[in-house]
Amino acid sequence: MSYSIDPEGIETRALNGMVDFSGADVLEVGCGDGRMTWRYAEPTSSVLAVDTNPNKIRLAIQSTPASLASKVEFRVADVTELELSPESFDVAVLAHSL
Amino acid sequence: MVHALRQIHRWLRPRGVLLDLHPEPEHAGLEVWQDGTVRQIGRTANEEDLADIHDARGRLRQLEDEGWYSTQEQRVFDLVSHFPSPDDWLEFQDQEGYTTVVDGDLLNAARDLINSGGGEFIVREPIRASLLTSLHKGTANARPGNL
Repeated sequence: MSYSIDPEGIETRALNGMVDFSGADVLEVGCGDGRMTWRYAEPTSSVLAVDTNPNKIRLAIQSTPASLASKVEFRVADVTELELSPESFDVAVLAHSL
Repeated sequence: MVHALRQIHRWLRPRGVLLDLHPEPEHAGLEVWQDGTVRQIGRTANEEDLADIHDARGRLRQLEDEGWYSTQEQRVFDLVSHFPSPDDWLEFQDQEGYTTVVDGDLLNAARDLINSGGGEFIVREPIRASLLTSLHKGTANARPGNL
């Protein structure tokens, strides 16, 4: 099955129009297969993207562009159980996760 | 999730931002794009999803009322997904674990159109993006530390 989500880039323009991702450390909750991550990750300093679904995280890791591999980390995790340092992110993205 | 949003507040730097994206409480539009023409087919009918969306908005409002975040900007846009056929969309929904409630006659109408004249099955979902600023303790009416 082939499909395409937001090939017109409407979502991408909205994301990048609202948030300045340049040099930002980003936490993404509910990243799924990384579909949205790729839309903002390029100018960031780092991205930690989490999802509770290991299959989705596996897909995200497999589809990570080489140019982003050094700055994007995907992790199987429930946000309520994550242990992270206080004040370590500039941006948190919740994609359909509330 | 309210607990998670409080956790996220702790992980954000001062004046850090939270970008939340979730659907508008409206049924997604179903279309067939064929030879440069958009043919409206109808809408989904997921009432349970709409209730979930209202609940999600309520959680964000609660966090704002408690003084953890303040909304800076909101935008609504259409997330447009393209599928070769309605059945591919149904398969995608199933794979993603999404509940799909849609009138079978609408799907049949889309199938007939695509089978007879080609084209794509389009799902148009209105999304609200909300940008919230993380507030410092002491900058809001209700202080997170007091909760």
